[in-house]
Amino acid sequence: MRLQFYVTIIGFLLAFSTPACNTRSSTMPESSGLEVPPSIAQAVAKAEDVRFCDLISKPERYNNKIVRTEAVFYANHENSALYSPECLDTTNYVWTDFDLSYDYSDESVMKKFSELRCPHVPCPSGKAKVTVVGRFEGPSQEGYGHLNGYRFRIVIMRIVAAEKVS
Amino acid sequence: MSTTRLYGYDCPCQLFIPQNSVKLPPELTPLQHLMKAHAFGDADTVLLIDKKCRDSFTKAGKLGDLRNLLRTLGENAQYDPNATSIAGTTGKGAAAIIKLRPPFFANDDTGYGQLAGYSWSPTRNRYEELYTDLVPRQYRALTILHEFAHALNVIPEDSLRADPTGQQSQKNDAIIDEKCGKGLNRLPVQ
Repeated sequence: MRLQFYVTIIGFLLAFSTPACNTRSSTMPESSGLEVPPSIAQAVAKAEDVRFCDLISKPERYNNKIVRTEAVFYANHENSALYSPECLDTTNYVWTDFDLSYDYSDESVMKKFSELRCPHVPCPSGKAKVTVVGRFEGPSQEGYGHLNGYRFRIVIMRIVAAEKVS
Repeated sequence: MSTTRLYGYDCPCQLFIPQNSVKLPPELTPLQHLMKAHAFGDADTVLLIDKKCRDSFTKAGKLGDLRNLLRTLGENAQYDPNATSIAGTTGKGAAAIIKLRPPFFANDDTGYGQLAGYSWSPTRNRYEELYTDLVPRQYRALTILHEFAHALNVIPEDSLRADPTGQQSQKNDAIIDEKCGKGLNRLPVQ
């Protein structure tokens, strides 16, 4: 009786293990060599295209949403932020943090971004024009980032493209 | 494809093992913990040995209180694995949190050291920060004093909201170097 119970349990386990074996094939390989979890890949693929200045002007619409946007990335010793020359204002900088899934980005794009961010060494500050996918947050009363000086934040999941600031 | 032993059988899949687990955030290594402790300890030393530096900070309170606060901020300091800047501060006073990022722990001009602004000085045979000529250990102490000064509100704000040019951060380094340079230069170079 007990043996029959164990056989049944093992049977169930083996039966339900088969789909788990197939989950690897459902992931999307990218050029970084890492396999992207489907949920992240789907979230990135489905990210809504939003003009950076629209994010700033209608933040409530995009708060906590994953968006794809184009802006200038700037970083120095204490700050790292996105801005757009089209709606440049002291209150329109968006603090940047990097999601852990950023590691799954295309290696060639990450390399290009690093080179643009740091064109000659040493480079305590630098900038690059980027297209990013990330989770937008704000506005926050408390503020984000260095000295709580930013109303908005984007947690970058991917830098999709990077080029020199013209 | 890796193989997992399951109930005595080799299963050609990874049952019960997260297959696509995202990398955990990197933690500070024991050496980096030591570097952090040195940085806060060195900043405290500079407050003690450099009168000009001490005077610039004691505008905000008594030396004993300031040293206690610096110790608290050291205990509460957080490691932020973002590689885009050296350090930052959120909040004020005892509620302030100093965030240290990978370039803070650099010791040369490779990798994160490029973002920290280090380059080789052939005349002095050592790596130095671009604007202050301090060696990495001394520059880490300057960085702590810089962030401590933000927590005490004794230097100008240098977020992009206050300074869209991004120059104020480096100017604040220069302020700390001008006030505390004598003490910083007396710190060990290693």
